[in-house]
Amino acid sequence: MALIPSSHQQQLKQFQTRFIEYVSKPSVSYTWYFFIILFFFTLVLFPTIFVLIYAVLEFVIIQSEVLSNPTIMSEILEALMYSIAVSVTITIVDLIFGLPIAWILVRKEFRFKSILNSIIELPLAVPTAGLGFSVALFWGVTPNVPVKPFFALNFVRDALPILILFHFTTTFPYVIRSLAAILDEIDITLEIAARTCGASKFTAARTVTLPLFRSGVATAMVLSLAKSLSDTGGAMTVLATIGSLKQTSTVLIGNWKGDYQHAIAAGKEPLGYLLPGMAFASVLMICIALCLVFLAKILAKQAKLPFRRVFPSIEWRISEGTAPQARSILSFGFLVFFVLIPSFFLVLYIFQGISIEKLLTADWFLFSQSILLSVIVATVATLVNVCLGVPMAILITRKNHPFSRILDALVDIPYVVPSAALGFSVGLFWTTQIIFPPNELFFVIMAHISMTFPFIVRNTIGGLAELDPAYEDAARSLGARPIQAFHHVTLPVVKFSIIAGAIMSFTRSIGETGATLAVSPESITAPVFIVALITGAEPDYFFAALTTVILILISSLLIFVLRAKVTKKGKRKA
Amino acid sequence: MVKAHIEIQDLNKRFGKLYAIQDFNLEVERGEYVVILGPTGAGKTTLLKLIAGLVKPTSGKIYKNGELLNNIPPERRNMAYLPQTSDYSLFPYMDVWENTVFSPKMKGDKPWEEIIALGDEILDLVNLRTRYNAYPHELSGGMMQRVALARAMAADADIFLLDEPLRALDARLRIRLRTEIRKLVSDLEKTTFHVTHDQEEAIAVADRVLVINEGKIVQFDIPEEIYDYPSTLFAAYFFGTTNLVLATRARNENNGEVVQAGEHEITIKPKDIIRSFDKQESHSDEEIVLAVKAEKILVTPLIRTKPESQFKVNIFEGTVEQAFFLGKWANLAVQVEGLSKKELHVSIPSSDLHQYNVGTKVRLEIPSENINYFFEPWEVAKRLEMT
Repeated sequence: MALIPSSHQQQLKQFQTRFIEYVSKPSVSYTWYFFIILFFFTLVLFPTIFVLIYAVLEFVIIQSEVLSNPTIMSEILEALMYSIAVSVTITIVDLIFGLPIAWILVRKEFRFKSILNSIIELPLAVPTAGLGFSVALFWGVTPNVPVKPFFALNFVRDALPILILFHFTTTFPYVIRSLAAILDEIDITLEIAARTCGASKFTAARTVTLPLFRSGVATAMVLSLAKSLSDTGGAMTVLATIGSLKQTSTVLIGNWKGDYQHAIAAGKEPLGYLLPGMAFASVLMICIALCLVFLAKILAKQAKLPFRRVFPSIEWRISEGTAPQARSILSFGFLVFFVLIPSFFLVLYIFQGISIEKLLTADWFLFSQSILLSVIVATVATLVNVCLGVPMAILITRKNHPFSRILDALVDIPYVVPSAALGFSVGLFWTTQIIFPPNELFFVIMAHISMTFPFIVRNTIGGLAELDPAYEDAARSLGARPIQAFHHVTLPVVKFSIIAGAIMSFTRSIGETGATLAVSPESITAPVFIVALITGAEPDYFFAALTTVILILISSLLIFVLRAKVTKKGKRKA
Repeated sequence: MVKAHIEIQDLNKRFGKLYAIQDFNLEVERGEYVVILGPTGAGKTTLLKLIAGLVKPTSGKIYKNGELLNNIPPERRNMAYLPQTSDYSLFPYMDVWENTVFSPKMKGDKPWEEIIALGDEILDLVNLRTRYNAYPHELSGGMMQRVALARAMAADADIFLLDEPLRALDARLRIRLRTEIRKLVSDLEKTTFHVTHDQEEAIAVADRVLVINEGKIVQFDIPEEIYDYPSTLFAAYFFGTTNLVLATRARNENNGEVVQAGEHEITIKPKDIIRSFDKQESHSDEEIVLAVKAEKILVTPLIRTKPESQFKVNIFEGTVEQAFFLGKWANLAVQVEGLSKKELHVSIPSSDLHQYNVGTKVRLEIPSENINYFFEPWEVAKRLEMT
């Protein structure tokens, strides 16, 4: 272990020492944290809600062009109703099925548990635009699709049920994951204590664990509400595949932004109602999203479930004998049938529809360009977020400041705001500002940064919360500068959380349609490309499916590489 | 004038409206072993963190060798803080060697060869050289404790701040390690602050004990003084097994003051009154609380034939209600008819236990010099006994 340092190494070490001394100066660290807060407020939070300010300033135009125009108003309201109906239904369905499945995943031991645990995450890697097509193909009546796969159920005709089925597929894995993670933290000994006092398994779980689980339920509700309210690309492809002309509000914003941009590109004055209409719809969506999330949190905390009453005979019956076994199998089957098969149904479609001719005629140039663009946007957004989100998380958890709590609440806002509204708002902000030269790619990246910022921060906060600050205290007291304590003591523990956040951020960004479309319909990222292929005048379903699969492969590869790298270094984990 | 190693002046720390530390003033000499003792939530850990610089004081000053520390960050105070976690805050991703040389490596002021020599020397000192590549989770509690000490010693700090260093160990190991730590840091002439809530541990190792409660200093003195002459009711009750007897003032007599405890009169030494008066403002009420340690009550089986001397005071008759065998010592719970306290606890050597069965009549004598007493409302005593 004794290496005699060469002069080069010595120089490096000197540089390192000087760097550490420099960043440990109070003025430098204050400036850095000030910069983080400034960045968050001006470039993440403010653009996200910029549309609210716009709506107040330009209220006269909204009044004359939108509020007094009944056809436009009814179009906006109808779309909104669809969005609300879908997301509320989905939230309830997610909870009803999510609780038992999360329960089984955490508390039960069975043969396929580890497999189930890993495949449950798979649908998260599928970009929603492709997922929408896949789900529609499985459930829906698809008049325009030339080759129908063998096992397609082919019976859902209406927009509402297919949207619900689709969003179930997209939100359910998230809900399960978060419920399971929180359930895992609840001490099982409480339940055991209840059972030694004579309660059946079911009674113990219901009366002891469930009340402790309210925060988990609230988180899951917020997750599924936010996710289902904000999806754009998936809804577009679902509706296009079954040939429905209905719109959700995100689809509406995406379409109108497209119309607006086309008009400008063609050198024409865009229709007067488009811009104020989008702004109005965005404002409504932001308000509705915030209200629903607020409501969900209150509901989860205040709802009076029948915790007190106990029904011993019934509850004993469902706790014993074949009932639990049946429940496990039922949940497992449910998961496979409603989530996994619909998610990957398009793979079957590719195998059936593949032909040399199709591969040759496809537009490979646009294809590779879109993939490249997606990867660039997702990578840059994720890197920026890691650099700025981690200090933000430290600021929130470790600096004991009243300001921290406010930041903690504000960080989630970009997550709750539906991504199409977010994209529109960010786009509006960047085209309104005069400091930076307009650059569509830059705007798209900024929108993606805003959108995925909460993922990194939340995950890092979770990791930091698990590490007792005592370790950092000890390190500081033993002579480590703050940055050294972070590097040597904190980072080895929280890097898993940071990587998990980066993976979430990357997959979310690479699969995002709505935000991209609403910022700049010109930027053809891969999901936008997929949507264009499916919703276009001459849909090319096969190529859309292929693009989706390739996108999945890229995401999975990245996840695999990152995980492998982490576990190789993390072998020493206690 | 020689400066105190650590001097604390008017130190206050408030969390919201709650005072964690209130009006602390104390001086600690170089090489002193100070045990900070108090119940949970008394402010012990906060005091350590204030000294270490991990928490900023609301007001007040901390000096080290006469140098003001308030604006010096923790890493520049040259102290070694050992937080209260079950694994002694050993860094879980580093092995014993990396943990040991963490501090010199971070400080970066020594060449590598010197660090290696130092690390080897210290690991030898704590007998862990053979386990240099073990990870903390592979070590026993006692070994982890020694690694933590090694890490602190390698920091070459002149002040050790140990927060419940023996918390996670079993009873026998605690006793062995507390003397080991004590010897190690005293040999190195380190000034040490050692936090505990175990009064026995405090008395066993401390040069001086700092008793704190609810953020305030109760008493700061050598163990013998605190044990025999507690300055407050709290300190009196905190050490050993203490009987608190509620009484009212009756009259003065030539051999002391007489107080009324239930139907009995008890004579107490004026000397003790003066001691106890020191800090307390006279309480307008007539209520007095007497504190008597269990081992300071003399007990003998009652022999009817022998008449009591006229001049003896504080003699009571009682019945043994319960007897507890505690190993070397035994405790008797004795009921004295008419006394304001239901049961008096009396310590005796276990070898005498055979003389006392449940129901045995006994004679108790409480020499008046063994009684500490406090002009505090009875409420205070009742509250102490409730908790």
